[in-house]
Amino acid sequence: MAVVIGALRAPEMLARGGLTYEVAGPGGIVNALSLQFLGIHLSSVIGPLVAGQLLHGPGDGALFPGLAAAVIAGAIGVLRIPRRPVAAATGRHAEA
Amino acid sequence: MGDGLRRCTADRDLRAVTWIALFTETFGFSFIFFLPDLVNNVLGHDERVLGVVTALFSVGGIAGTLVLTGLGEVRWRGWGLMLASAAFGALFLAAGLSGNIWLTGALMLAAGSASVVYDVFVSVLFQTLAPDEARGRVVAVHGMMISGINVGACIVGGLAELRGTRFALALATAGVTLNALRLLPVGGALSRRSSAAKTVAVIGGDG
Repeated sequence: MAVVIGALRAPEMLARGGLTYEVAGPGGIVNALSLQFLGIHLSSVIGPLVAGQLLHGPGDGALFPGLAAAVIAGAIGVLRIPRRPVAAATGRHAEA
Repeated sequence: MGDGLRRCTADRDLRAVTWIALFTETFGFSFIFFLPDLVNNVLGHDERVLGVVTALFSVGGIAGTLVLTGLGEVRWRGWGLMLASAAFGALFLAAGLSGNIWLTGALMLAAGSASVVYDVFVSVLFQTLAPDEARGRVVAVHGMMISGINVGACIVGGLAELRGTRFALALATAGVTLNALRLLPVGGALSRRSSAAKTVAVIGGDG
């Protein structure tokens, strides 16, 4: 499981960066990435606190379903982003 | 990956960002691996102090992101990257050489802020300097540089075995700062080119 998670982390990071750029555009990329890193840092503080409560209460068996639920919730959020045709494949470009 | 590396080495601006990422990720961020050794064995404190010092790094990161978010779409991205990388190395260097745990903690707080400024600007520059048709491949090179943390930890760890933790950390972090200062003159060109990026990879359709 550790190997699978590790192998998926790299493409996840690349996809997240690419999607952030496409959604925010070059005009909003600094703000978008700042907010993204804010989320990462806040979750690195909040996550261990929640994990500690889960370990103390229901036990370590509850951690993995909790983690899976959080990832699925994130994926559902990403799926709600409107799909748009990619210009690079056609050679056409739009300006932000 | 090969094409991404070729593009990162052929383009002067992307090459500068790649050098910064290589040094900062490999020799800067690997510092975190040696924090327990530094706090416990060199400074002589227990795990509770280690927890506080580590938390201070995260708090600095949160403060840095809040400040950056408040500043909005800054245009000095190239300068920001070079200065953040230089400061990051210098702050870690000072933290490694410090004999006082509270000074080390304060330096880690500041290093946390510098690290997040570096993280944001290096990501922004890789995204905005890459040509649309090769953005994924160029950004993958950045991902590869991030993996360099583990390689850096092995190199610095080996050096620490031979010459001591402080010497190894000082050499690694001084390398980060010197590399950033060496590339400082490119900062202006990076800022102008990144801020001028207008092309986006999506068109049409409102969902």
